[in-house]
Amino acid sequence: MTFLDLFLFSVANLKRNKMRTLLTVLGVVIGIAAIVFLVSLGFGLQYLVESKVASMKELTQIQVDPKSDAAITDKQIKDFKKIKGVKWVSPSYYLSSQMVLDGQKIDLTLYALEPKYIEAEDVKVDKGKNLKNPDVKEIVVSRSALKVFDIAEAKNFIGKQASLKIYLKDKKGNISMKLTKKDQAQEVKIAGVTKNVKEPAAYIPINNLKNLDIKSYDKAIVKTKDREVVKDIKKKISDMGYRVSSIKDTIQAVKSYFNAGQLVLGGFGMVALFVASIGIFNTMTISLLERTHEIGIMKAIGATNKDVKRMFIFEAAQIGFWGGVFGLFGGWLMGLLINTLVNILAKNFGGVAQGIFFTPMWFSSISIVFALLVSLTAGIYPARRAGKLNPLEAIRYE
Amino acid sequence: MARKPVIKAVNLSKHYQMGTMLVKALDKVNLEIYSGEFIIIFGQSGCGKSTLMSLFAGLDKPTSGEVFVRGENLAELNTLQLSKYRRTKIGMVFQQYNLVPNMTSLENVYLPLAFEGISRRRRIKRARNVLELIGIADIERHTSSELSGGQQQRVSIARAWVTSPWIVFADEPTGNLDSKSADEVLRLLKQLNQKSKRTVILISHNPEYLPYADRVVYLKDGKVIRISGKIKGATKRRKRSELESLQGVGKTAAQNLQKAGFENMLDIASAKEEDLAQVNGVSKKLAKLIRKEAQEIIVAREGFGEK
Repeated sequence: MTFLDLFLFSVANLKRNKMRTLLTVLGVVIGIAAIVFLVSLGFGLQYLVESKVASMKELTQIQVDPKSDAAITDKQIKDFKKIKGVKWVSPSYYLSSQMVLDGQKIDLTLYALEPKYIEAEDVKVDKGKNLKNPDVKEIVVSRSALKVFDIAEAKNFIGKQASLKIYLKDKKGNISMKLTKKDQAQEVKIAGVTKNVKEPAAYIPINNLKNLDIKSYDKAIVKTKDREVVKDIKKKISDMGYRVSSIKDTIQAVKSYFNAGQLVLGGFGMVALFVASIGIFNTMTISLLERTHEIGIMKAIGATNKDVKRMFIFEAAQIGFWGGVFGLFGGWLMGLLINTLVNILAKNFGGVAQGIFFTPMWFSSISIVFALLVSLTAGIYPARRAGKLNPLEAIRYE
Repeated sequence: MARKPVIKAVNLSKHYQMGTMLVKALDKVNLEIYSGEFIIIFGQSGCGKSTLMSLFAGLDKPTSGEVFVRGENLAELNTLQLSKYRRTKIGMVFQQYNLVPNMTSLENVYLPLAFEGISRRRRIKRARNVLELIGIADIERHTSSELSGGQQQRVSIARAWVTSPWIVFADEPTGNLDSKSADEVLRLLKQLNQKSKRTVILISHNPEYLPYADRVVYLKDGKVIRISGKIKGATKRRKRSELESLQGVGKTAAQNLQKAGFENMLDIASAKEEDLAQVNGVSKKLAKLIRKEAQEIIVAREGFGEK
């Protein structure tokens, strides 16, 4: 028999008892819809969280931290730059400092870094300008520092001159209050205010602190050319004795949490699909009993066991396929509906509209394939029984 | 030279265990049936005639003995080969018609061809030819529930004929029919047997039909008790008898046709009507009819390849 015949025969047979076929397909639809709905919720939330954790460009960054026996010096920075796939390396160090503005003093953490790599630090300036020129005495201050100064409007702050005292650590690691070196006290202009830094902090171009004679950096950000090489470069730097981490690790952790969640959600849907597969088994078995006589006729006029078996398998496959297609559509539609409702609520309470459902293409395909597999598994036993029927006994069966 | 039988039973026995009793449904049956014969296996119900047909059709296995079809032992065929045998070498007509209920007449007729893997286009054409040959082309779209018993049995005969089988088995084909339909069905089987030279083995308990048969096999309590009639065609010249089987062609007309160079069916089928009408004893109308009939026979034989 040709595939077209098998297809047409199975359609004709499924049409014979439309209600039964419809209900059986509905079982699969509900199972697949439940899986698609729940897993799409999982994916939606995962992507939502991931997008909050990291922007795309941060995915290509590796943070390198020194260890007690592995300091980051200028020489190491050069070595990092030599690794294949590295775009640039931005070293930085953290210092304790005191800022004086209009007679008020506050303590804050001072980050010294290369202005052109400031993007790597995730410093987003929302008022004023970001650091640009490495040799100008400018700083960017975090908004929480403003609060300490009790200045409400950020724009009142920008362009002001402030004086900065930088404290170095002595050999024992204690912060020394004495200013012994040049550059430890300097006048700087406030260029901008960042929104996203929670602690009182300031950022300054690293060149301004050249005279402090700091031997090693506190951290370096290694920017790679693309995402694929991150893993390799991480390993190389790690082998050099440093502690490395990237936002990818965080995302990986988030992903593994969500994967577990999706498994649980998918598991709930699987229960529904399992029930549906029992429905398929039941339908095919009843169909087999109803058609025993007919199978006998077909075998008497020359149908092989395989022909009969394949006819039944095709029917089960059709139930699975249509159940999968409509289930996918149903699950997706349900997600869309819930998402729209949630967004309407969110807007009413002043929130932002978010996509909390997401059905990836590959998952859509897999859900249909899965529906097919489940129905084939459920249909294989009745199909084999049909194929093995003794023609003479079957033809006498009424 | 002795002719080879198309189907042969050698010491064929089939025993059933019914509780403590051993039932000998068939007991050492020996039978040779030749190509083109119209055989009636006659006997009362329970004499083992249906069992014999099941064994011939390879639907059942004998307790002992063998069935040879054109020299091939059915016992040596595997399941797949037996399916192929039933699909291509034999046709089956049942008392209960046994059409597939939700299929149209056309679909029922082409079903064996579908199992054989013949393309849709070819098998529809072939099935239509046979439906036309049998004179029921008008019901090709009807399902069995819309047909009378006689019509259903004709569809079933068409289904048996469609693969151009060597042997057509008909198990009490008239058992569920009124006498008029029964006669029609029997005449149809006889007609097809004469036209296409296919072997027909009819199973019946009705003595009225015995005159149709070339030979009658009398079966009683699982044993062949008598075989009446002569093995036909053994001495006749085949070509002439072939032309004589055409409707309206007598012995003289057949001889005249042969003299004019139309020696067999293919010659008639491929000749021009005018040329046929030139022959003595062949009118224009007859020329047209026999040409059409010959073409149908050729299609019936070669649409599928002579086996």
